[in-house]
Amino acid sequence: MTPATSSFAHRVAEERRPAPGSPADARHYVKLWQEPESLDGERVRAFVLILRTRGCYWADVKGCTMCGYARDTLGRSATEEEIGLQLARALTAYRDEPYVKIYTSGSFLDRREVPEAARSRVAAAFAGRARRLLVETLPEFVTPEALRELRDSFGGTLEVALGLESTQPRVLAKAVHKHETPTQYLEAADRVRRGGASPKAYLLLKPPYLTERESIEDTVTSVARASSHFDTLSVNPVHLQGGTVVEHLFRRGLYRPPWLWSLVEVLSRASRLRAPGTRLVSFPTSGGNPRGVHNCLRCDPEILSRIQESSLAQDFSLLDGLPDCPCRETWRHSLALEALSPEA
Amino acid sequence: MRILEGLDGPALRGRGTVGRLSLTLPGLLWASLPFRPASRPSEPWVAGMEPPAEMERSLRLGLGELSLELRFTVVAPEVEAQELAPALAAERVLGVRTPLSAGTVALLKAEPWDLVLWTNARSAWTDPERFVRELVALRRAAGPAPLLWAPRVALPGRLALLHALGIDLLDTTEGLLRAAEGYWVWAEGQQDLSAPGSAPTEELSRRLLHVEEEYAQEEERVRRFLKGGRLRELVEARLPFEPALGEVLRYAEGEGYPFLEEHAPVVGSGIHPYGTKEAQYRPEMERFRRRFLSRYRAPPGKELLLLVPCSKTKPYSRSPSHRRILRTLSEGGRLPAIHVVSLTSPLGAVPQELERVFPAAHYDIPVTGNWDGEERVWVLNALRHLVGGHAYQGIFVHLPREEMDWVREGLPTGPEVVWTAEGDEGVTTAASLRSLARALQQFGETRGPSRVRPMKIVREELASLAAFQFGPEAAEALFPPELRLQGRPWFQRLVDGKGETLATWKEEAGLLRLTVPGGQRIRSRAADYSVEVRGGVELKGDLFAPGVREAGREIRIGDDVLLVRGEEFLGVGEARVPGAWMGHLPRGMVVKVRHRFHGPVEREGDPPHELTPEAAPDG
Repeated sequence: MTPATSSFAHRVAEERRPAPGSPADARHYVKLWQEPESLDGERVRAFVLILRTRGCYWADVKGCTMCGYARDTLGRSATEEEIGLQLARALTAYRDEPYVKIYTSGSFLDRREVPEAARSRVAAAFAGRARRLLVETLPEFVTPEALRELRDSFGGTLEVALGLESTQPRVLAKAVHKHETPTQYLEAADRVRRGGASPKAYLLLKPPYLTERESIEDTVTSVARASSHFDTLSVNPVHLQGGTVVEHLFRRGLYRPPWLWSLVEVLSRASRLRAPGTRLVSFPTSGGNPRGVHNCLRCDPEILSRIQESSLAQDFSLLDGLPDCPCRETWRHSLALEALSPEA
Repeated sequence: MRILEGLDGPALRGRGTVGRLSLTLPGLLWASLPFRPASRPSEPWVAGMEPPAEMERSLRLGLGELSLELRFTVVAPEVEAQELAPALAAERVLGVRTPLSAGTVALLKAEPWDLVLWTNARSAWTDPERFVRELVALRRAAGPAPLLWAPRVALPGRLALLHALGIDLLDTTEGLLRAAEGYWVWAEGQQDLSAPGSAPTEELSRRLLHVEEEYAQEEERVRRFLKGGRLRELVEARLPFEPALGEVLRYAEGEGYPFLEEHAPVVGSGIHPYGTKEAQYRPEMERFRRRFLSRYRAPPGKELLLLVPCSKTKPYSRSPSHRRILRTLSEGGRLPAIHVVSLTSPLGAVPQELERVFPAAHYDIPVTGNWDGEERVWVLNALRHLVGGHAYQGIFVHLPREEMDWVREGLPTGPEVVWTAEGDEGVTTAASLRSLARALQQFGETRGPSRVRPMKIVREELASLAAFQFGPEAAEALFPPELRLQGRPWFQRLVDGKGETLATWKEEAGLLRLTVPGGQRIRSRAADYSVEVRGGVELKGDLFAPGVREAGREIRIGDDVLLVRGEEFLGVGEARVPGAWMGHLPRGMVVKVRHRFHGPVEREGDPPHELTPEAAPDG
């Protein structure tokens, strides 16, 4: 029997790739906003900008099961000038927030997404105005040269975020469907440190195919294994994005976004397991919404605000005395019941 | 593996062994949670285990203290491009995903599996057409021996349908999940009825206990209905509460018809309600309609076709209305030449010689006199087949006048068609019967006296029945030129020129029952009804599963079958399981042997049969 060459994930990846965008499309960044953050123990506002680029190359090849950011891309590489135009527009909204986060729906350090010259331009634009600049990238693009160039252009603290998601190799390869191994991520984090930048990891809560209980254990394990390699660990519960395997499963009743109770358990346990000095945070996208991490929707606002507060204050004891909602029993039963069948 | 005590369609009643566990079938596995005491400690259970490793999962299946660990690899079917290998979950336990790969089919056939787990049954359920297609393919590949478990698909209201499709084991997991989520789950569907202000945690445990009670009661109901051969009725009773049930059932009757039909007996007893529209598609009904078109031919000697309404009383000829009509006919003096055919829903048309054949004498339907489009099509197809295959000299339509418009479409337009019922009061009013008598009289005046010999026509009727039962080719071989009939109307014996009995017919069974000489006559034309007995097996009593090498695919429960071994003819008997099961069951009787062959009939001192001929039937 000849092995099938195309998986469902591959077909999804092909379908979500947008057609090449016009020069007019390329003048507009995807989105920007300000959000609360903490910086060196101080509460600050962070400036978040998503540039429109060709996006993550892996999302086009196969793609991660939960990531639909490929839809927010240009469908072709943006030129240095086009990135410059997006940046100029964005800067009109920049109010000297000390913490700046730049995303590309992919890797900022992949020159197919952001040409090298544009990279420096972006970094230089915030030089002297922000104290910390965060960019996200796949591990394969983390090189001493790229780091040096960025640090030189920016001047402040450079933070490099890696979407590690899980330190368990089979979870990462099959359930998340990443290209690189956890080891490659950890090595890249070490390169970030050696390059004088601060490594940050995104850890996923509840990739598809795992039960809720398995995913809790996966994230807790990942925090324990990764924490010595990173300065910051950010737990990202899955939220449903269009054009993804997870959404396909959700529509057929085969996937539920994680429970907030699961996130509470992960943060409580992981905060005790992390290496001293490693920041643990979680700022869930679509929290308290049926398409994101949620409970019964009644207790969600209170829990979400406690999670945000504990992330900013780095004090997870705030999660110990949460008001007991009846949905906690539902959660407990669901976890135990899910374990009774061979497939989640 | 499964040990058969009885079948109702593909659903098996009996026991199942998995390793050292011995379970009652059909069975329900009780979801066992670490923090909740078992509510039914004497029932089989399923429990979750600590994952043995990353991306691995382990379950425990148990009964009392005995249990068995099942291990699985967590798969990601949407991202894994290569074929997913079946999982050997434990010794003689295989976890499979559908659609089945060629490798999985080969593995399923290669080993005597105790239990096959349909690991992605829940995913298949989200697409009813796929669910049916893949379930049928899975059961065909696995054969009848292994137990089949579809995890986390069952809700109380789904138990009847899922078991009826041959899934032996189901579990309470999904219902408990729904209850935990806030639903009150009944066999009749689910509702979110959480009472405002009630103690939430207490209410959750009440919902869990409630759904377990529903599971317990429904499973008990399934077992009782199955034992009574009425599981299909319970399946239909659950349809209103979840549309997916109806979708699955319809696909099972459509694409899955050969599978359902294969498991449907050709004999039955008692009268069963066919109370819903869905009942009209039960496989025995569809088979009767199909066999009528493919196998049935009218007795050649019949001169006159008389179409009559069916009756609530079965067989029709016992009903007051038919008796009145038959009395009128016999007064006309040419009864044997008249082919009485009842038009009926949902069978289409039932000629008098088939009126004892299951399910023609065994159904009760709601009757209103209004025929829906499909019922009309069934009748018209049958009518066209009837009149297209036989040149009747006259066709009397003794049906209510309001049916004239549409019944006419199935009939020729010539003057031989006469509508004999009068008025709107029915077909058995004095006026209608007088009209029928008058038409008969006129027919007699035009055609002269009937030339049909009663004995010849009875023989033709039995030949039509044989064709319906074994197919036309075999039927032809069964009837030698010299054939005599002995016995009574309710018990007839077909005897050849040498005094040898070829077959018997009893009215309660409706089908012909072969003797050894009869079986030998049709042997070369009835491969579909033959069972090849394994070499070295001595046929002493009945035939048991291990003795079967191969069996005809047309064999249904209740069919008469020929037992052969190469050129050797061993005997005749009645099938107790479908032909497709015979060679694939580990044990159990598969053919109730009626007559064994003791050597050539010419042998001295070997009387051909023991009964003395009785008076000829009075036709």
